[in-house]
Amino acid sequence: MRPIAQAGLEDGYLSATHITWDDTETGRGPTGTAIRTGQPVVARHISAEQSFELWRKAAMQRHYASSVALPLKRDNRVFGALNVYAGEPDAFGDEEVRLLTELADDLAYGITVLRGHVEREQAEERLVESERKYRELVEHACSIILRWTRDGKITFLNEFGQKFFGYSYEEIIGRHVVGTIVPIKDNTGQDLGLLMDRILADPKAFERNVNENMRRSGERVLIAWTNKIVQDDQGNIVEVLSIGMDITELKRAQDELKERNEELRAINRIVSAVTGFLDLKAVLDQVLNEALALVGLEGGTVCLVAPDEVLELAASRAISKATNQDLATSNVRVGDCLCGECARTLKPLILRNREEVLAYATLESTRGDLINFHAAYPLVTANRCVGVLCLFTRTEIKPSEHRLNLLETVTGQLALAIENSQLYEASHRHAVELEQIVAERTGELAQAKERAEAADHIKSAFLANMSHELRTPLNSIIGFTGIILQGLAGPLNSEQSKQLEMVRSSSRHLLALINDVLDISKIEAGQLEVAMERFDLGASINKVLGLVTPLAEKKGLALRAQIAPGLDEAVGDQRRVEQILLNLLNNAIKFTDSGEVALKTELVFDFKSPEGMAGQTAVRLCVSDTGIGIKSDDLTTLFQPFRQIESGLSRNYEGTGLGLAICRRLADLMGGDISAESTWTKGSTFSFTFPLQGSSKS
Amino acid sequence: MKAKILLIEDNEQNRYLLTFLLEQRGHEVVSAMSGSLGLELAAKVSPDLILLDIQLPGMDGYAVARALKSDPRFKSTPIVAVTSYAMVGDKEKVLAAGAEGYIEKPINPETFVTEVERFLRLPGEEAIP
Repeated sequence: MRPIAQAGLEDGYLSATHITWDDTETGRGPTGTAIRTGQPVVARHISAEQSFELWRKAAMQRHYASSVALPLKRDNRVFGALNVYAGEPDAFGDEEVRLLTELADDLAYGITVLRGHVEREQAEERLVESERKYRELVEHACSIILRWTRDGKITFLNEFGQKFFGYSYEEIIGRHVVGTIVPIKDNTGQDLGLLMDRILADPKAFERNVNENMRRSGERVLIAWTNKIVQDDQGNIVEVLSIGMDITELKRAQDELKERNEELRAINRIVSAVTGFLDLKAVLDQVLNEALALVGLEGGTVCLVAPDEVLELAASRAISKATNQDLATSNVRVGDCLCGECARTLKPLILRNREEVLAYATLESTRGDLINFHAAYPLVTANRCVGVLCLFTRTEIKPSEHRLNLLETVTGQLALAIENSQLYEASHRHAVELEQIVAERTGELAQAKERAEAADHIKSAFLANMSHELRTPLNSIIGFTGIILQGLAGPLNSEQSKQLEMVRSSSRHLLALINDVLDISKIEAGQLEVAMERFDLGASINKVLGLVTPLAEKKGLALRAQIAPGLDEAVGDQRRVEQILLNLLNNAIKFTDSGEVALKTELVFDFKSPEGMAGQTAVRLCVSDTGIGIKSDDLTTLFQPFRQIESGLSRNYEGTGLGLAICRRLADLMGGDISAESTWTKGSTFSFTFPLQGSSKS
Repeated sequence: MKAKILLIEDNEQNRYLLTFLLEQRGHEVVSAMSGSLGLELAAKVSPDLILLDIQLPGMDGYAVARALKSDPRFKSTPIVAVTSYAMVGDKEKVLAAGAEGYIEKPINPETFVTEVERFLRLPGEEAIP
């Protein structure tokens, strides 16, 4: 409970007293009970009153002996209590209570009336305040707030809107939107009067729209509107409430962004064209197209600066026949006209209008090719102008400076691309030239090879022919000598036999010489080949031994042979193996006057052939003699052709001097090896080794 | 065993030499001095064996051998080449042309006839078709 007014009590007493009106100890006093019950409560004797327990002492101190508590009611609702105290006990009889109750009711009525008035005043104040706040909001909002009627008349425009459009409130109220803040036609020619009609016809479709508006100055602005229909009780459209936001700058920024993006894309296209291919013509065509698209111009050229300072046309669009002719016939050089001049100065040259073009007297303008804008950009790399990009238009279009600047930024890259491409083409050209040279040389070589082969063929045919021609007469010499010696043609006396034996021996010797000469000729011609066939090596050795045994016996020499066990088959050229062995044994017998000639055969298990094949199994045939031997100086040239040692010897020892040279070559061809050791006057050992399983060499 | 041998050889002395050696051993020798004459003679005399020089004027020995071997009448008649060619591959070429044997010139007069006789078929022995 809150004390409102008091008299007869010292200040502060009531406000310090705790009284309630609920059914608790503090609420069961006279005041609380009166409020709770709505009935007057009389305390006849405070000193004895049970309900005064809590406050008795305070009341007694102040000499109050009795009291009455009266409820203050309005429409049966208790909102307070009036307490009256008396100094004498039992001061409030029925009559006093009735009178005081009337008083309390009057008091209650008065309070109620007063309170109602106050509340109304407060409500009005709040309303005024609220309106003020909203008005401020509307007036100062950073949005245009507009109300307009069905027929387009403006009924309200907030302060922001007034400032924005440039009208005072008085000026604009009552005016039609179209012609005031809405232009009759927007920039695109759209009839905005019709738009307003459409908004009104179907407001829901136009809750949000963006359209062009107009300031008093005539300046066009772009505004995003939110429209709300205001309807009367019957649902008719009375007004439209529109809230607008100026998005002119936003739109401008967006457009700008879009343009920058487009530019970037254009630049990107140029750069990728430049880096994309190496075919210069294709690159320059694309670059010119992209450059024209970027700056929105009609035509242009790309010229390359040739080493002789002539501008060569590499790509063009919309140029006149005359200009094409000029460039095609090398008429334009560095320093000439617009392009040539910028190739000389390495600086862009831009003629921005007809007057500038005429004043510069470009080749085109002197011929009446009326150009309104003409720009030339040098394509410079490493301080060298490799070409010129030229753009022009005959229309009135003026390219944006910004885009021209952008274009200038990519000219360096373009120059680099031209240089790369030229390098590529040059290297390609060199490659082609090289290929031609190689083809020519190959052709020459092929011819030379053909000639060599033809020569070889002739030589080969000659050798074959010689072989035949030389042997054919020998065939009858040896044949008939044999027939006569055999006695087939009749008896012979001993002298005749002896002489015929000499003929036979000489003819056999001649045959051997012919064979040697043919062999060495074939070696020289690279035509000597060896067969690779399986043959019985043991049998071959025995055959050769059989041939030389009579010779050794005739000279009184011992011929010893030591054949390794298990030596039977080999792969190689049987005839040539026999030839080598026969040659070695014949030599040994020939150069030995006394003592012995020995043949030893052995297997070699880790033979490394001269051609480098290691680890083969080979057979080694060693022929040793006790003959005159070979001086160590002569050992080195022993196997070279026509080197029979000590020319003096050759008279005593028959032979062509070709035998060992032939042997060495044959051994080589079989993947084998032949070598000699000797002690002068004591004898020699010749070793012939060849792989048992043949060689891949032949 | 006496045989009828056709000798095709252009060198007169050699023709004489070989004829002498073969007749000495009782064989009948018919000789021709060129390949084409040899083919004619072969058809006429039906030899048991043909000795064929390789380096002949005009039609060479290889061609003669091939012509003989493509003729059914001589399919089983042995051909022995007698040649002074001594280059590698000559022997193979001769055998490839259809010759059964190969004797190198100069011949050895002591062994020649024996070598030739090795190629004569025994009576009743037929070549495998």
